[in-house]
Order: sequence, then C-alpha cells, then structure tokens
Amino acid sequence: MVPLSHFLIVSAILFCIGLYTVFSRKNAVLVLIGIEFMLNAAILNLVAFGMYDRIDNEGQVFAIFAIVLAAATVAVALAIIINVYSQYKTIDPDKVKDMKY
Amino acid sequence: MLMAALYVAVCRDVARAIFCFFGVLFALAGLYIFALADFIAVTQILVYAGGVIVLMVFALMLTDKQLLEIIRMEGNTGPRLFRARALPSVMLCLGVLAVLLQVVISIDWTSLSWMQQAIPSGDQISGKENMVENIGINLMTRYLLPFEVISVFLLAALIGAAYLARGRKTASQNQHPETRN
Repeated sequence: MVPLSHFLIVSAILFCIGLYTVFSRKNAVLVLIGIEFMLNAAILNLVAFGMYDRIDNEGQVFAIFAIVLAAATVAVALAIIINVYSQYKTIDPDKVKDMKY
Repeated sequence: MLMAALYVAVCRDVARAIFCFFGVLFALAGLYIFALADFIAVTQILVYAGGVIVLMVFALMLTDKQLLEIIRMEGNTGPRLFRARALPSVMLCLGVLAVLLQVVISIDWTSLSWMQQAIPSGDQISGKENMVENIGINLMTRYLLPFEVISVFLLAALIGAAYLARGRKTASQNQHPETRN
C-alpha cells in the first residue's frame, strides 16, 4: 500500500503547478486548466485520506461531489469565455478592461 | 504525470497543452486506483475525459483563431520555463510549494488519533472488498442531502451555461422579425 505522504507530496506539487499556470498564462482556457489542476490536487487529498474510512466512505463520496462541481464550473466558465470572445475578440484576461459596454 | 502538468504550464501551443491536460487527468485516475478508490477513478475518466476535455476543445476551436498560424509558425521557439515577466509567479509558487512540503514532511501522518483508531478497528480499505456497493448505499442513505443538493446545482449550472452561451445570438434573432415588420 502506498503511504499517505506520497499522495500529499504529489498533490502539493500539482497544486503549485496549477498556481503557476493561473498566474503566468495569457489564455483564459489555460487559466481554467490551472484552476482544474488545483481542484484535482484537492480531490487527490480527499481520496488519499478516504483510504482510512471504509465504513462511511466520507472522502470518496465528497471526492465525487467535488468532481461534479468542477465539471459544472468548467461548463459555466467556458460559456463565459465564449461570450467574452464574442464581445472583445480576445480571451486574454489582461485585456478585458470593462465588464459592460 | 507531473512532467505533463509542467508541460501544460510552460507550453506555448494551446492545443498541445490541452491534450497534455488530458494525459494528466488519466494519470490522476491511475493515482486514484493506487489510493484504492476505483469508483472515483472511473468517475474521473467519465466526467473529465468525457465532458471537460470535449468542452475545452470546443471552446478552443471557437475562440482561438491564431491557433493555426501558431502551429504553422512553430519550431523557432520552444517552450521556455523562465520568462522575465513570469519571475514573480515562479517565486510565489515555489514559496507555496516550500510551505506545503514542509507541512507534509514534518507531520507524522500515521500518528493522528482518528487514523490510529481506524487501523485496528478494520476501518481501512484493503483493496479486496467491493467498494462500489458500499459507496452506493452510503450515497443513498447517509449523504442523501448533499447528493440532492448537488444534482439541483448541476441542473442549474448547465441551464445557466446554455443560456450564457446562446444569449446574444437569440437577442439578435428576435430583433430581425421586428425590423421586418
């Protein structure tokens, strides 16, 4: 059985890669991918701790909920990105200045 | 998996980054299997590989018109890890990584009280039992309220996404009959 700290180290590294992606990319789709990396790091922690909960399955059940929430987030965010592109002709978050015109 | 994730962070081609993201998600499903959570792994592949990737590729094709030119132009500059304007974000991420790794390494996780209760009482997953049945029963009894709340939330989010994605076009279509009249 893989020890718990290995999962935690991997998820810490994945979280930091997601953070770097969010900060450094200039494409809104890739910023969204960075957010997904951070969410997946959190889900990996949930699953890793859920290894010690056979009766109630608390970690695994809430990992499923988190995956569903991430999917809903992606759907709404991509719809917003497409709307922003149709208005501004760019999806660089730095260039979107005003929210309504 | 981490190399693929790092490639997503530094790669200049968006389409290639999205396919590397796909690889990262599959590798994460493998890690869930190593964590003895096979049902979560299947859910991950279904939801992410089935839904999220298709949505992302569609959004990429609908938005990025310079993509084809970038693919034609590639070869002169590869991915660069350290750009001058990315230096603050690199420093911030390395700081966060240092703090997280310090916490993970310095704490002895097996000495937590609830974990020491769980291991002798047989509350630990050994990988031999059928977890899907147990998860289903728990989902319908113990976690019924969050399950229903999240289903309603998912419905609302999908309706909202569909409305957002088609909003302006239908407004212009509604204006056309009025102008004709």
